[in-house]
Formats: sequence, C-alpha cells, structure tokens
Amino acid sequence: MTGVDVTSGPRVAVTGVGLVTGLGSDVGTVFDALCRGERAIRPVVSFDVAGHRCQLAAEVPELVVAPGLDRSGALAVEAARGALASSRVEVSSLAIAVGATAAGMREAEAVVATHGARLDADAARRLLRYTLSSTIPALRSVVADPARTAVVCTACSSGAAAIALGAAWIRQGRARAVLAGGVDALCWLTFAGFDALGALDPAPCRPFDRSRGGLTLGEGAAFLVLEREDLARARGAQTLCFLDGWALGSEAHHITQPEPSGAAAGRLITLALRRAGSEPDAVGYVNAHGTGTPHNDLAESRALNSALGERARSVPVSSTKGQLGHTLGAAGAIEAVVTVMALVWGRIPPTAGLTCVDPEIRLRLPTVETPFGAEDTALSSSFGFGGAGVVLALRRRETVDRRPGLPEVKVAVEVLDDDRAGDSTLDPARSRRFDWQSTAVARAAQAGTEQCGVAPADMGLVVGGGFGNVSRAVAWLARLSQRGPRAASPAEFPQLVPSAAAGNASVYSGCAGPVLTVFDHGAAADAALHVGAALLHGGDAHALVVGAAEPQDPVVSAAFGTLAEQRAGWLLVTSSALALDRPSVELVAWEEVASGRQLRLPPPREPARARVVVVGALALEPLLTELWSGVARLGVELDSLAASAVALRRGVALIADGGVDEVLVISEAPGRARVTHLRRGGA
Amino acid sequence: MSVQDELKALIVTELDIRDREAGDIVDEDPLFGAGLGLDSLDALQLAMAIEERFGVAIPEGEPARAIFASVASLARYIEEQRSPR
Repeated sequence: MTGVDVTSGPRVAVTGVGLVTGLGSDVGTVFDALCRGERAIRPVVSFDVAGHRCQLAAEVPELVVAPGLDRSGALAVEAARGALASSRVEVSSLAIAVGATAAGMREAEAVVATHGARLDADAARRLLRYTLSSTIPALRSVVADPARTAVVCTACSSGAAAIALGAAWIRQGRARAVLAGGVDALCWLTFAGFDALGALDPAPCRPFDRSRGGLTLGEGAAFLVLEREDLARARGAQTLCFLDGWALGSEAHHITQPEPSGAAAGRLITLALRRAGSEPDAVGYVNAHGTGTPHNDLAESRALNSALGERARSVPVSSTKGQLGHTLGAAGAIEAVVTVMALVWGRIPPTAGLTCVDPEIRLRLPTVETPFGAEDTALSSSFGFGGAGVVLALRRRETVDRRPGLPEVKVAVEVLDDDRAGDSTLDPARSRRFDWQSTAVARAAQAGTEQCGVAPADMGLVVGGGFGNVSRAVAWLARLSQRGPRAASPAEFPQLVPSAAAGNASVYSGCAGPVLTVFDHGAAADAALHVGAALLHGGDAHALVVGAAEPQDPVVSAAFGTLAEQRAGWLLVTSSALALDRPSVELVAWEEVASGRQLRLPPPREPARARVVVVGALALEPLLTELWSGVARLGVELDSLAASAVALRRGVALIADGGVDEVLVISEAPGRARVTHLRRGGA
Repeated sequence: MSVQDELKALIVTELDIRDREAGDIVDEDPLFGAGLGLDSLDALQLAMAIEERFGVAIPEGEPARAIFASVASLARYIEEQRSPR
C-alpha cells in the first residue's frame, strides 16, 4: 500500500439537541430535573403489569399520538422537532440515522391480544406495519425527503450507534447534516422479557449501589443535529460541541451477560478517545451506561479503570438510568444529549438512586450536581445485548481539532462463497436456540472470516433485516397473554431482539468488530452494505460480512404471499487499509433516491459493458438518467425481503466473471430506492 | 416417569439441547459449567419450566446454586417441596 492520502475530514459539529423522556421534553427542564436528582420512575400505567415481579417504569406522561403514528413514532417526531428547532438547520439537506429496538411493538401487541397467535391476512398485514423500518416514514412530517437514511439496531446501544454512523457520514462528506438519535416506546414484550430474566429491580433502579438489583425500564427518544463544521459556521449556527471520536465494537462474549473483565469495553473507550485526539487526563465527565444490574455496573467500572487508568478514580461518572429508566434504543441518544449539555452548561448531573457505592466499583460517583472541571472532553458509553458497545467522545466547542487523520480507503466487495458458508457446521451445544436466521448469519460469519483470512476478532457483521422472525415474537406474546407473566420464557426473550441473529453470530464466531443489524424493508441488504461502507471508509471496521437473511415466516406469508421465500445472501466487504490482495470489485457509490426523483450519478463509462440489476418491479423512470436507462437490465424477483442480497451478489458476480465492468444494483424501500454502484477495481 | 426422568426430558426440550438425549444425562453430573455447559439464562428458563410443570418455585439467588447443581439435587428439592409437611 503506497501513497495513501491521509485526511481528517470535516469536523462534526453538534448544533441541536432534542429529547422526550419521563421527566419532560424540554432539554433545559429535563437537565435541571436531572441535576436536582428527580426521578420519573412510577408504577406502570399504560399496560397491565399484574403478576410481574417489577411494577415500575419511567413512562412518558401525557404523550399525544397523532393519527397514523405509533407511540414510538410520536416520541421520535417530538424529539426530532426539538432538535431541529434548536439547530435551525435547513431541513431539505438532512440525512437521518435512527436506532431502535421495538418500533411499533406496543401496537403489534394489541393485534396479537385481539387475534392470538393465528393471524389472518388482514391482522398479519396490520402487525407488519410496525417493523423497525417504519421509523423513517414516521419522521416524514419532520423530514419529508431525507438525503440518506439508516435504521440500525445494536440492542441497548442502538441510539449511540446511529449517532456514530451519522457522524461517520459527515466526516466522509456523505451528508451535510444528519438528524441522528434513537427511540423506543415501552412495550409489554420488553417489560415481560426483562422481568423474566430477573433483570428488573422491583425497587427503582440504583446504578452502582452496593444493593443494586437491576434496571428500571423507561421510554423516550432523542436526536442530535450533526453538521459539517464549515457549513454550520457559514450559516452562523451555534455549535454546542464537537463529536470528534467514536468507536463501535463487540465483546463476542454472551448474548445477555457483559464480559466481566470489561477489557473489550475498555478498548472502545480508549479508541474513541484516541480518535478524538483526546486523552484520559482531558476527560471531565463520563456518562456511563450504568444500568443498575450487578454485572453491567461492575464490568463498566473495570472498563473505565482499564481505559482511563488513574483518571478513572477522579473523573465524575454518572448514570441517568435511576431517573429516566433504561430507554433501550433511545438510551444512547438521550445520554448523548445529557453529555452534550453537561459540556455546554458546565454542570454534571448526579446518579440518583445511589446511596452507598459498591466497594468493588472504583469510580468517583457524585450523588449531587457537580461542576464540570477545566477538562475539554466528555464520554458517553452504551452497551447492548450480544455485547454491542458504542462509545462517543465529545469535545468543547472552544477546542481545536486534534483528530488524527484517516487513510483514504477503497472498499472491495466479493461474493461470500456459499458452499463454504453452507458447509461450515455449527457446534450444537454452542448454537442452542439459534433459529434458521441466527444459523445463517453465524455460518456466514465463520465462512467470511475464513475467506478473508483475518482473525475473527477483526471481523464485523452488518446484517440486513426485513420482517425477521415475526412468528417467534407472536408466539412468545401469545403465550404470555394466555398463561401470564410467570410463563414468560427468559431464554427465548433475547432471541426476539431485532439484533439477535447478529449478536448470536458474533458471540458464536468471535467476531468482535462492529456488529449491526440494519432495517430497510425490500432494500435490507443494500442498506446493510451502505452502512458497512461508511464503517470501512471511516476506519471503524476493516473487514465485514454483509448481507441479509430472511426466514420463511407464517405471519409474513399470511400477509404477503409473494414474500414467502426463505433467503440469505452474503458479501465479504473489505477496506484497502487491510492491504490484502482481494478480488477487485470496488464499491464506488451508494445513494438513496426518493420516488419520482432522478439519481445523480456519473454515466456508465462503456454502456455495453455495464448492467443494471433491479429487485422486483421497481419503475426505473425517472430514476435513471438517459445514459443509464439504455443499459441492459437483469431482474431479481422480490420473493423475500432478503432478495436485495441476491441482487447484490449477482451484481458482484457479473463483474468478477468478466464481460461486465460496472453494475448498478437498485432495490426499493418505502418511498425510496437504494442504488449501489459497483465497478471493476482499477477500471 | 420419575421426577428425574421428567426433569431430563424438560432439560432437553426447554433448553433446546440438540446433541444429547434425555437418557444421556446422568443424575449426579453437574448441570452448569463443565457438565452440560448450561449458563445462568438456562437456569432461569429451567426454573420457569419447573414451576409450570411441578408447581414448585425455586428461590432466586444463592440458594438456587445448590438446587441447580444436578438433576439429582433438583429432583430432591422438588420432592421435598411437594411432600406434605
């Protein structure tokens, strides 16, 4: 590898924040309440919790849900409006990155409560409206025509993962401004699942306390407006602070338990700081994940001690989960907003609920509001099921840019050898509870690691999700409503999280790079490839297995007979920074175009040696310019939400087999098309 | 069917054990760690299934360790709880 250009890229300015929590939806009011130690934890009122060990949560009171929205959508819209109002950014240029775990699960629960596990076509169609990919259409009243979108799930770190992705887009010049955050409405499935795991404290959550007994759930949403620093400055925007560093990775340890030494989490903290050009002594505040479970809080203390050394004993650390509850997909975003405002206002909120610190936890944990010192950096950490961690490093607006440069990389795409993926058998003892989807992803992870020749620890996964295993969740809910809370299966619950297959595969195969699940309906695999490309370009990953796996699901078949096929397809995607001699199909562009708009892409170099691969019956006019519309087309049947994976593999194979030099793969998402431009390397 | 045999069948089905049959499980073998390789999530699942099947609630926390040691210890606990005092 010679002559590699190194660039820092534009700095990522945070120019607006908005949130909705159990303590309110005005940032100033919520922050003041947090600093006073107020708590939103109350008996649950929005559904029946009789028979559960825990009766408490931090619900958002008096939420008005507009017609056409579900509760998650209403939370997202309110938080997004707040963020946009505070930033005054030009909405027409906005991209959106959202993290979530439940989307419209609460509304889906009502369908199951009425119909039971056997859903007719009408009920099945209603249920399937509430998928994670519905989060972007829900925001249509706020951002009608987003420039770029992603819905990501990394379980309880989803909101922070979306923010890291949005920041990566800005740093790479792929977006001018991004609305990035997370959302989750409280639902019975999540409540009953965590309760069955014994993870909920019957008393209000007490992070880091010697007598802590688990978490309290909450709900909410939060968004940050991230902007290119130069553009923000040019429009005279307020910069609240800079998001200079972030790190994503996986522990590859256990589906629900954190890795006890905190070593992997500690490495993420170190990496985020290094990428921000900061250091332990410059850290003035850590907003911890701090769920209040015995294992999490101890592992987090060890992670901070290993990453920050001596500084871990003197830097103020706090968790807001004793006040706002654990808001799951929203938590990383709500906590990012709190961390931003702590930097801006110079005030550090306490950990409410904490009275007597666990002697094994070696951190400075103020129980009253504390002034922010002279340091210039603040950290926010998030960790989720399957060990998916995200750390954000924010620096004061007065700081100068000290980020180390990143090499310019190219992204190579190759078809993952299917035979190899099919042959790799899984150890039955270690793959218990894996359904078809988890098995498919775990096999692909193994085969991809082998094909790539890297250590599993250096491999990441980006899995495109469509509807997922809907019937498994429906059956779990039906059993819960028929037989009550004591019959809620604890071992099955983690398998219902939208990121379960990716998490299982990461734990099974030891893949410790970024592990994300990405949702975009019929464009699921393209969406995964597009997220993967941003991670590779930003140096967040060097090798990824990317694709989609969609099971044959009775509920999906009942609703849409045409989407009844079981499909999986995988690509191995690598960064030129790995300096491996990979087959050279290069990913040159990836875009989204709203229906009725035209794609801006350079014309094919030689139309006779180009192809367009289309998923389903998507109309390509007016999407393609004249030069591309004359290119020969191949169709891939939309018989599964993973059909886009089949199309991508075909596109890559066309170039790899010779005869074709460039390919556009086009798939359809609600109201938009995703376009992936592949070209022979060096062509 | 003895309580031991019922428990073994329950372990295999509830914990989705694919590489062994109920008859392969030895009464005194440790269930967790080296033995069957079960973890804390399995313990929770088993506790739920035992409560459903036998109507016996297994205490949470430290006392559960000794009870969950083996099929034999689980069967002893269930029989103690079911027998009239």
